Amino acid sequence: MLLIPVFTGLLGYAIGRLRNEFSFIGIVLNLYYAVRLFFRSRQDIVIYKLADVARIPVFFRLDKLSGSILLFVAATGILVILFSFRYMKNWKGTRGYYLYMLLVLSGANGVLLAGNLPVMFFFWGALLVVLYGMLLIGRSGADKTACKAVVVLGLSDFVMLLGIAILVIKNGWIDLAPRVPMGLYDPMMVAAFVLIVVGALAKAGSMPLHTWIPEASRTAPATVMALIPASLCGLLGIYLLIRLSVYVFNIGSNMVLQNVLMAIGAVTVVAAVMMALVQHRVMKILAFDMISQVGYVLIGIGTGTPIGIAGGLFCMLNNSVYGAGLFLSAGSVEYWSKSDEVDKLGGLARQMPVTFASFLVFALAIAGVPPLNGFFSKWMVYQGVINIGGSGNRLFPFFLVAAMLGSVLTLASFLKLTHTIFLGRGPKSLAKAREGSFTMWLPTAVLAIICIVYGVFAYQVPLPDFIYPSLPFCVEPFGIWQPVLTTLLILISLGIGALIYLFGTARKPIEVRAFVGGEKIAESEEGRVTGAALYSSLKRLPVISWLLRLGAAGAFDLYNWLMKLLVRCRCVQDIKDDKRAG
Amino acid sequence: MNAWFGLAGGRVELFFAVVFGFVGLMSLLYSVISIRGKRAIAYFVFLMVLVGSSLGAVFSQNLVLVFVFWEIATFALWRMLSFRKTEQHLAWVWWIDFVASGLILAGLLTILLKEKTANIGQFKGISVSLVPALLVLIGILAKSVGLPLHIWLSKRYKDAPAGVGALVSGIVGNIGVVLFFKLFLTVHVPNSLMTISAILALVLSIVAGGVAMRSNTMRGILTCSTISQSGFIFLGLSMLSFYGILGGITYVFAYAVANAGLFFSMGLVEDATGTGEIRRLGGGARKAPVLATATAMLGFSIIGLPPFLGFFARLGIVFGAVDEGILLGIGAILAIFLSLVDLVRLYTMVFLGDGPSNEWRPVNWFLVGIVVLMALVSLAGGFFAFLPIRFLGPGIS
Repeated sequence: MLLIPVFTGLLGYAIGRLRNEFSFIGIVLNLYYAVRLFFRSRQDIVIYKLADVARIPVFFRLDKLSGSILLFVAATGILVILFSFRYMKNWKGTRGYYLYMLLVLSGANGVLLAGNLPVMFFFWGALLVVLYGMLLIGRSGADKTACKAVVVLGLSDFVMLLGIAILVIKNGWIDLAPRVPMGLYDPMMVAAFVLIVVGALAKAGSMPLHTWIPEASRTAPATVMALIPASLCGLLGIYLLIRLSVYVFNIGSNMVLQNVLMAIGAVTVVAAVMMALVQHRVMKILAFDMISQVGYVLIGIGTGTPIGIAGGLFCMLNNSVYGAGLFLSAGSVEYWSKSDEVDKLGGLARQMPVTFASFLVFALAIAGVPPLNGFFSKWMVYQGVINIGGSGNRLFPFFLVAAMLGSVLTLASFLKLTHTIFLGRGPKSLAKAREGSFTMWLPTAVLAIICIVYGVFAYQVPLPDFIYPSLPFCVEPFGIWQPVLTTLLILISLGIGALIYLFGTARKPIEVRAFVGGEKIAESEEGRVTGAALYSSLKRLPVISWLLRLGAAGAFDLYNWLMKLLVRCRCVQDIKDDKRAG
Repeated sequence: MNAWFGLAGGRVELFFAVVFGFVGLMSLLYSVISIRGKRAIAYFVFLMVLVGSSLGAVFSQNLVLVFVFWEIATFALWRMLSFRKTEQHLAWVWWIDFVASGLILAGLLTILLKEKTANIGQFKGISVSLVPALLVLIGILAKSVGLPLHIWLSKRYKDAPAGVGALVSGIVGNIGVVLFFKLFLTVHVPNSLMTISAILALVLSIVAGGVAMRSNTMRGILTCSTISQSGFIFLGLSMLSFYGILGGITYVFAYAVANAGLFFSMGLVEDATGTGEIRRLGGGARKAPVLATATAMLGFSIIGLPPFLGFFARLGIVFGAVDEGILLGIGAILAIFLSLVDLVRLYTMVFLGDGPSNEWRPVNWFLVGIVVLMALVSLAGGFFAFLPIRFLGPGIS
């Protein structure tokens, strides 16, 4: 699992002509072993000790949690690489692309299989190096993006290293799955937990360490966005958070930490989706929506209740599915449009029906519309939040409202996006757009099917196979929700609606004056309503407009603060240099 | 006085010798191509003297002899530095070296006269008082890291050939580490001395990292980085703990190889573009992709990112620092972060982006090969880090 992607990636890099073939072999073998390890993990915990180096045991562990996530990483990897074969033909300087992709998968496998924190950190840090190289591939300005990512993630990784060092020195053991989780009472242990969580959150893309993701969406190929921030980084970051909060420590033992985690989650959910609403580039909208979804996972884990943590884990897996799907769908569109600006898109539903249908499923899933997977996982998170209310946490209404509001705003964001890309009248430049080769539409279709299956058959597939076995506690039955029955009812309702439509309005089309809720219609060719200006009134609301302005100016960006400090130093030096020279 | 002038060594000495020998060999190979002219023969003679005296310092079991070998190496370096500039320009560099050497000598003589022996083997278990130990410590830091006039190093490297820069960061600066190891890890010193040493080293590392941000030249940034990394090594050794010392000595290897490689790379970029001003550079990755990749690998090793050797060394030092106190741990993390920012900035400005109109002349493939070899050693050192760590472990224990 660690070496195969590296070797095939290097072979593909060395023999450039065969890089697609070698990448495919590598990714298929990776999936094959991931499946084998998944089933192996269901039987027993597997430990493989490599050596003792400087009194630290170097060993790997496969358990049910790591087995499940391994399978998800491998499955997402194969779909994204399959998509890349056609998509990346439009990009230049991609010799190292497949090598980096495979190295990323190898590093991710290493993180998931690591038995203790130092071994995990070895692969975690290696991912930063590969990510840096990968982000250098892209549009003009990719160097600045890569620089930003490596500085932000590097800082958070070093902070994490400090936390690991505290654990190693003060506690003596650093196992990622000890027999008994530790209570979070000792201040040093709390400090270690917080420092390691900072690293995990930065990788997952939680606020305020999220800023490298929207920046990457500006320059990186859609496939890179689909694999790394949308899927892999989120999976790994949240995987580590679950390991820490459930296996290594017992987060339920410290209510302050729980509330801090949930507060970060709540702010991330609402603030990120608000930013998404006012963006004008498809990739950036998706990037902010992905960040927003991380907030749900944090709220779920922060509850410290079995149902909340299970919901958080389910949310994480779902995010990787519809996150990757959304970016790949957007990539299919961008393949033809050569741009992701919302003003230049529209009317693609007829030309790209599979992509449209897939995108619609992803959009509804991420917005938490029943009966799709996003609804189910969010519903579990809501249950967890309500449970902590019953345990005396008075802040629970705030977290619940934030989570529900986030869901509504996500739906609003995707209404805009779906309309902008697929509905209405398209520009002339997209007249030749059509569904790409099967390597492009198949991955999105597969991911869309997973979204449906995981929602409709939640009790039959994801919960018993992936979620419940991955947690060290039992999840009590919760609430009443019958997704199969609900789906049938929804389908019947839709059928009746379709009949009414066909025998009613469809036969007698009427033309009415377009009403856009008082919003200003964007001035564009052919009088198209692109949806770019939708929700622009948000920018005029008193407090929100101020916050959005600050956000757009980079006031909440840690990197900006660092760079301003650096520029100030540089300016002083430049003035001195000029004086010396002149 | 009992004075044995023989040479001997254990695992740690052998480790230092391999590192110095490798960096010396690489520097020699690099210089064979890059150094031409009438004074080339003198340059190579002094290069051999420098490498030989550094090996002498490593294997000496006599403190006076270690000091003498270090001085010979410093003299050889001084002559090599004058290869491209006037000796008058270097006069004040010599004076700072002289003062630092004076401090070391005064401290050593005080210790030797009290103990009536110069043999390191006979120092085991003896206690050294604070004042002479402090004199030696400040002298070592002044000669190796430039305390308190660290800007001196940047002046020293201003016009020096790249091969010399590699020798300074890879060998001469590390002879101080050898003396530190031989003296302070053998005798009993007051705890306060090691605390002072750790704090001084950490402050130097952080300040040098900060100063690098203000530099606009490749040499300026690399020089500050050199000081910062040397400070980090002394931080590890000052912990007097297993992880700290192991990390510090491993980092000598990682840093000597990687920093020497970066100096070679910088020399190649200067030769190709005719400038070392980073604002006038850019786009090097398109013109010299192999050199750019190798340079990135060397930079990652110095920063301490896996899978490069520097990672394990940094890990050990951070563990040691946290063991000593959380504030030292935080300082160590800050120093690493500053290294990251400095080197990423250097790499971005020189190799990425579109770049100004500077023309890139073709680079010599043999010289690029040396940089690549050093990058591969940094990478292989990471994958096989357990070999040096296992080798050093018993020696340190």
